[in-house]
Amino acid sequence: MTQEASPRKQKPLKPGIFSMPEKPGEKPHLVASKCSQCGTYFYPQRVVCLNCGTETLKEAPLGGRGKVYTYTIARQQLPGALVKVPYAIAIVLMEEGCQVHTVITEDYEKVAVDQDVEVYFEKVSEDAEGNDLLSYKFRAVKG
Amino acid sequence: MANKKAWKKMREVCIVGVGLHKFGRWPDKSVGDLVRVAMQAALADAGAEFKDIEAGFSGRVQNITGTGQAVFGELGQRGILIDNVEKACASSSTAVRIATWVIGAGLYDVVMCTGVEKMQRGLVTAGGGGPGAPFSYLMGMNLMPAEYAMRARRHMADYGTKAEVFGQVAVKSHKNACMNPMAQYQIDISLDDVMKARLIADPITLYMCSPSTDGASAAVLCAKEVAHRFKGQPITIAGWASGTPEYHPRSVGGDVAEGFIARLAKEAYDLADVGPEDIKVAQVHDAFAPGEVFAIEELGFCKAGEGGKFVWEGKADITGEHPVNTDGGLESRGHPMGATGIAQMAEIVAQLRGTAGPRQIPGNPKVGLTHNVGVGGCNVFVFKK
Repeated sequence: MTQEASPRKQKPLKPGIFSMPEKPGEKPHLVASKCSQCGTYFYPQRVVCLNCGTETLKEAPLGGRGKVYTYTIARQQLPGALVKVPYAIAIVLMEEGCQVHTVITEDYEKVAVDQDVEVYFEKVSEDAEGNDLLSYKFRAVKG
Repeated sequence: MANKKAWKKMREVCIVGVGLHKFGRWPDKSVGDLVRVAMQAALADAGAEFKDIEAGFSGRVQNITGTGQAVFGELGQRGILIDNVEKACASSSTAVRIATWVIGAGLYDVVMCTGVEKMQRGLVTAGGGGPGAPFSYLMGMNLMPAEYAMRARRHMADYGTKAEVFGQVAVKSHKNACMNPMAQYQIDISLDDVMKARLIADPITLYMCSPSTDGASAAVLCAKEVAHRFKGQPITIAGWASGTPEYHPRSVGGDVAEGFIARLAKEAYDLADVGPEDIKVAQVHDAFAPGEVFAIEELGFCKAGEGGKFVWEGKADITGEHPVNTDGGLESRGHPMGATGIAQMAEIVAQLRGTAGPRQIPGNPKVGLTHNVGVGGCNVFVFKK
C-alpha cells in the first residue's frame, strides 16, 4: 500500500485473454469468438470456425457462467508459474457452449464434475511499471 | 484415412530386426552412443549389415535438427537418404510409418528407422516460466499429467471408476518390467505403494507417471519379398492408422481426446483385416496410467467405461485375454520420447516371434498392436507373423 499516490493500472496478464472495462462501473469479461454462420463460440479467440469452417467469427463477450466438465488437483509445481500448488485445473463448459480452461484456487478441494462455476478476475502479478496484471479464474457459484 | 485399395496394392512391409539401448539414465553417453548400440543390435537381430540399409528415418523430439545425419553417421557415411521425423512422443512410430510408404511403393527395399532421446530429470515442460511464457503456462495449466488426470476424473464421474484401477495399471506395468532387462525400472511395487505415493495431479500419483528417460531404439524394415535375404524372422506390418482428434467441445482433447483412438483402431483393423478380438498382445501409450485404461476401451478390448474393471480383473496381464504393455509400458520400461514408438514395436516383434523370455505371453500369438500418441497425434499399428 505504499504507492497510493500513483494509482495503479490494471491490465490482463496477456493481451486478448479478457476485456478490461472502458467505463467506470463496468466489469472485465472473457471475450470469445462467435461464428456468424453457425453460432458456435470459441475460447480463446480464433479466426476460422472449427465447426463450419467459415471465417465469419466475431468477438463476443461470455456471460462468465458454466459447469465443470472435468478437473484435477495439481500438486506438482510448474517451475516459474504464477499459481502455486495445490490448486485445481478445470475445463469449464460455458453456458454459450465453448470450453474455457482455468485454474480454481478458491475452495479447490471442493471442485466436482458438473459443479456450477463463475468467472472472476484477480491480480496474479505486476509488470515492470508497477501495474497490476490480472488473470481470470473460476469459483463455485455461491447460493 | 488411408485408401484400403491403395494399401493392398503396395508391397507388404515387414520388420526383420529390432534393437534397443537399455532405457535408463545415461549421463555419460551421447545421443550417438545410445543409437549406435540400438542400431547395431537391430542389424544383428536382422542378420543385416549397415551396407544393406538404403535409407534412414530418425525420430527424436528435443534438439532434433541434424540428429539422423549424426546417428546414422555413427555407423558410416554411405550417402544414403536420411530424414528427421518429429511427432512428439510418436516420432519413431511415425518414422516407421514413412518407411512403410517408401518400401511399400517400391522406392527402397531395406530401410532403418531409429528413435532416441536424452531427457532432463523432472517434468517435461514447454519452455518454462518467465514473462515470455504463454498464458496457460504462467497460470499453471500446462501440467502434462493434468490432461490424463482430467479425463480420468471425468471417467470416474461417468462410470464410477475408482482411482485404484489406475493404480493397478502401474502395479502391472512394474511387475512386467521386472522381467524386462531393457526396462528403466525393475521394481516390484504394491497397490498400496502406488496409492500412497506423492500425488502429482489427482488421481495420478508419482508411480502412475512415466519417468524421464535416456534411451534409443532401432528397427530394420524391408519388403516382404526380400526378407529371405535376412535371418531375422519377419513380422509384417499388416495395417496402420494415423490421425488427430476431431473438434468436439465436450472433450479433454490432446493425447486423450475422447473417441479418436477408437476411430483410428477401426481404420487399422480394417486395413489389416482383423478385429479387436484378434489382438493377442498390445503396447499402448501409458504416459500416465489412466491412458492404458482409455486405450483398452477405445481399442475395443472392452466396452467404454469397463477398462478399469478389465485391468482390475487381470485381463490385461501377461496371462490375460488381451495382455497390454508386457514390457512394462512407458511407465516402467521408460519413455525416452523419440525412442518409445519403436520400443513398443520391438516388444510386439519379440512377443510374436515367441522370444520374449520370462514375459512371453502363452498361446503362440499371431497378431499384435501398438498405440503411440504424440501431442494429440496417434499412430496405431497392427502386426502379424
